[in-house]
Amino acid sequence: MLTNIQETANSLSLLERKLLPHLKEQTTVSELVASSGLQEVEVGRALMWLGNRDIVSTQISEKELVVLFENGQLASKFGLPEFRILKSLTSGPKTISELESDTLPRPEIMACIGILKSKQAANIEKVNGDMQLSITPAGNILIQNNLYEPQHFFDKYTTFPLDFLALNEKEREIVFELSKRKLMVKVETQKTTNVTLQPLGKELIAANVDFSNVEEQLTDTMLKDGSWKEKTFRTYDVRSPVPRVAVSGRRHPAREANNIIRDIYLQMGFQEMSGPWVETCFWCMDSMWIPQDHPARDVQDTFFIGKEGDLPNPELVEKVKAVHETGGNTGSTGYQKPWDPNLAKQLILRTHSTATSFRYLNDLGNKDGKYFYVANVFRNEAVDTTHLAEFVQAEGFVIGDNLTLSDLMGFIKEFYARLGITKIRFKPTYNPYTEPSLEAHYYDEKKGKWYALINSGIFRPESLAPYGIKKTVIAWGMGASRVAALLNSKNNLRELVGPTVSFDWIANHKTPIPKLSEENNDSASRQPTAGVGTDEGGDY
Amino acid sequence: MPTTSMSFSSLIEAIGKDLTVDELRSALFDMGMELEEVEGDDIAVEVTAERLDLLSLQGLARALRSFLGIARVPIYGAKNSDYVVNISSKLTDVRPFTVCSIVKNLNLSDERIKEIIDVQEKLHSTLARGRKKGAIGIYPLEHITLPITFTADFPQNIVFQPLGSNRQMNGLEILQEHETGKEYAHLLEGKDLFPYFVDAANNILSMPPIINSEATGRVTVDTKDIFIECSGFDKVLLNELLTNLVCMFADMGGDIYSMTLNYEGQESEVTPKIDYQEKLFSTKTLKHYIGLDLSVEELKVLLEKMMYVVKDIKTTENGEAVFSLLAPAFRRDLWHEVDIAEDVARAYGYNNLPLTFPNVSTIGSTLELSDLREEFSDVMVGLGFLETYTFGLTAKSDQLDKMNLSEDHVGFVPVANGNETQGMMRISIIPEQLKSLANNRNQPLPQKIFEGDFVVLPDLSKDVKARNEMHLSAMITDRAVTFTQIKQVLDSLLLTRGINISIKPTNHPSFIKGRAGVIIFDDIAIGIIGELNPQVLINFGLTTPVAAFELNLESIL
Repeated sequence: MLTNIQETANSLSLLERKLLPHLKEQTTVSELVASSGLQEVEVGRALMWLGNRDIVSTQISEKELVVLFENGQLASKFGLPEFRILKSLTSGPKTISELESDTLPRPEIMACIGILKSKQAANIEKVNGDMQLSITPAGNILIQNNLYEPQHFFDKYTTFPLDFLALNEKEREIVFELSKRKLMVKVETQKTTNVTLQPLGKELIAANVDFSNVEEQLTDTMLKDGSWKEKTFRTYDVRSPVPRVAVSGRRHPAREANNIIRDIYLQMGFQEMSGPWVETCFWCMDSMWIPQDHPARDVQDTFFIGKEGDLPNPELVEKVKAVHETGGNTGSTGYQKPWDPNLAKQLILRTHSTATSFRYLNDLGNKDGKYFYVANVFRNEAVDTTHLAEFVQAEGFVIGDNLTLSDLMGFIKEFYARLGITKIRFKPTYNPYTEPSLEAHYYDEKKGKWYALINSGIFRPESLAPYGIKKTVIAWGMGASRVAALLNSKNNLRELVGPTVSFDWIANHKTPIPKLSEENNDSASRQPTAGVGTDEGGDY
Repeated sequence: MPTTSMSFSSLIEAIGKDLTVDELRSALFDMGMELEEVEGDDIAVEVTAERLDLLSLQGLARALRSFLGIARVPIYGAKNSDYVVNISSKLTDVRPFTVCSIVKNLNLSDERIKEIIDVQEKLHSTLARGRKKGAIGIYPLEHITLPITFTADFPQNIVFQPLGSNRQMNGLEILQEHETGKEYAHLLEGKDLFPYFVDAANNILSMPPIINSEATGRVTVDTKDIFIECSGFDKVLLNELLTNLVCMFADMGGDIYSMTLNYEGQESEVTPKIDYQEKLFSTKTLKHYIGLDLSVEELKVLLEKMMYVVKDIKTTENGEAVFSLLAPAFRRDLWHEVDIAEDVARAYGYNNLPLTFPNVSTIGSTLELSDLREEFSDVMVGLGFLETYTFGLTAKSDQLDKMNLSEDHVGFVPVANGNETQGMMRISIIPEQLKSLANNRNQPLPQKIFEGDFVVLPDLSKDVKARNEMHLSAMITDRAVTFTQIKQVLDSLLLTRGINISIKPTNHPSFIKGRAGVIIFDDIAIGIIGELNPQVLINFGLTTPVAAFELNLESIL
């Protein structure tokens, strides 16, 4: 038991220790402020801590009190001014100047004239330029028979403040009337914090603990001179909350989401790609057999620089032309329309990162490989909360022998799994440069709905032939901006990326973790925007 | 992707099998379509972009009948006829081609007529790109005297009462005063001669691609026989439009008749071309792309589900089978054998295929430049900076005007068709971050932010006449901020790579005079540092001073 008391004592902070000697069985905060010499806020804090340890308990009680102000105090001491005036008139009429005194100032007299007249207790007339008051028979009766009730109140109660609720109804009425008068009385609510000493507190006081050896802080001096060995350090309540510290440096939530995707690709053995934001139509469209009349080439869908770039070497251009017009040597019919090299020269902002994939395929030839790219792309479409003109795609491709649709779907399943998604299904779709093509949908358990996030396919023979590629290339891509929105639970993309994003959110956001199935929102209802596939602006 | 709307009950009736909405939804999904909306009896179906034959109720029902094994695809063919259309050489520079057909014995209802108009509109807006590439005209044959002529004349001379008008108008008046005329007037802009169809009694049928005549161009429930034409610039596309339409009319019970197109001074042609296409398909291709091994019998069933007619099957010595197939003329998406393999996969069901993991073993790797960005970003976070993420496509006013820079003295990559906030590619990240500061003026000071990302600079040595360059920008704003504070950050950052830089004083209009410098590393300028010019701050709506640097990360790799 004694150890317990000692431990409690050691945990007391300086303020608590200061307050301890002043505690009694029953006391109040105001009493403690007076006796301890501490400030009210310090006493409050110490009582809160003591309360947390069951040393004291506090109860707040409220009282309605009648409080006297300046004129009220005068009335209490000398009687109500109108009563005093009336009394003095019993010895004959008096002018205001005659009535005026230190305890009965002129404004008070003027106020009283009104009261006396309303009770028909006094008359007033002008005498030699001054006002003269004289008592009426009714006034005489009031004085002689002591019938003026407001004065009874002050005669009865001499100690203020007064408990309002203890008054009878008539007295309350009088207080109410008096409270209308200037600086007279007021009814105030007064809060009192009552402090009751608890058993532990009693023991603590009884134990009469010596605090002289309890230290607040370990200091470098104590370490140097070894005095720490003799000290006891106050124990803390480590459970108490502490003020929040302002976060300064932090990565951007959307960049964190991009890096999650990048890490998944790296874990799966993919190599990172990079390519220019400004592209020729050749690499963005023609190189992969997107027909020249495809709507993605319209100004409504694509940003044009208004200048021309260079085509690659003439042999390659010739092969691409052939495969467009006649299918070349692929066994395809081709589009059976003339292919115009001038359209291929147009410079645009790339609409998908597959432009870069084909630059890589051109260099790679028939070597096995896996490549990925988390890339900015640009679409000239109406910007709103779920559509941006500039957003991020994440695409990957695998080149190898004997790769089939089953391999593509197997890879996507694995990719989804790493984003925490296991319930998926595949929908056939159309992309001009992949065949077969498919969208991979996932099921959102919370919403009870299917959403498409990945678009994919096997590159067509016509798209690969110009590069002499005989191997199979499976490819897929996803809207990384959408993944970032999902991982960060943002419906409005403008709150996620761009100059309108709040610093407070960047500093205090919950770090996105790859678990899409846990956190979801409506931005997923947007149709897929994947690196592979032109489902946006790709209507043919 | 195009979406088409129709009545659920009419579709079910056309399919000829009672399906629930969910059964329909599931069949459509397996075929690669989505049932987007169901509201009462109205449904909206999203079809894939290459299959325009699915846009019409008849076409969708036809594909579903086949897919669900209810009925095989009918054999379409056009009956020979003596009908001719004469095509004038005046059209060469105006609207050179048309393809035509006559359909007889139709039984039209109001609902059917609405269906026809819907399909026409869908084809106009999709394949024909808002009538730019081709226009469809359908006319009641009972009001027409054959033969029909397609010719051109000055618009003042083309006078008829257009559909929806109560008076005769000439070609120019139609473009200026008629609602449809105004909508499509741009398609005839700059043409001296306007194209029109006229019959043997000199009645004008229509002025494509604008409008039909009220007298000879309105199909009603009393119409039994029709004349269809598609006119434009690209025969492949026009045939595709016509094929889709006549097959739809055949499904409605009409008899298709061919027409001979007599091009003035050229060889004549017979349309429509709705004969079956012959295609070869081998199990080798299926195995290669889909990975499926199926028996010849199984394959035959799947091919028929997808509207192929199996004409012949040959088995080679190594066990492969080669199918001789007939495919409907409206399937314009069969460029290569792989397209048939894909159809088989749809019929088999993508979701019935096994999932395998590809056996391609590689080692993952990153690019040095992205690694540097990540590395420096982490250092900047350690130095107490928040990362921002702004846009590369941005406004000239932000990149140039507000930075006190003049368009004439700075090289940049413009964007020709963006709006005012999309006029150029950023050449610097600093202005984009100043916008971030402006949007966060209500947040506590000091504010310290950084961003590592690409800018785009003109570069004539590249095939795209531009290059991406990875920059890192950082800035501090507070009620007072100094050059020293931002220089300390720059030094700390670069010392993590052991890089010692020097600063060469410079006068830069975006910075305070005497408080800006070029960052020099190995005698090369790699960035800029300084206190932003007060005018620049005011231009961006900032109320506190800013010190910033921007570094080209590629030059320190």
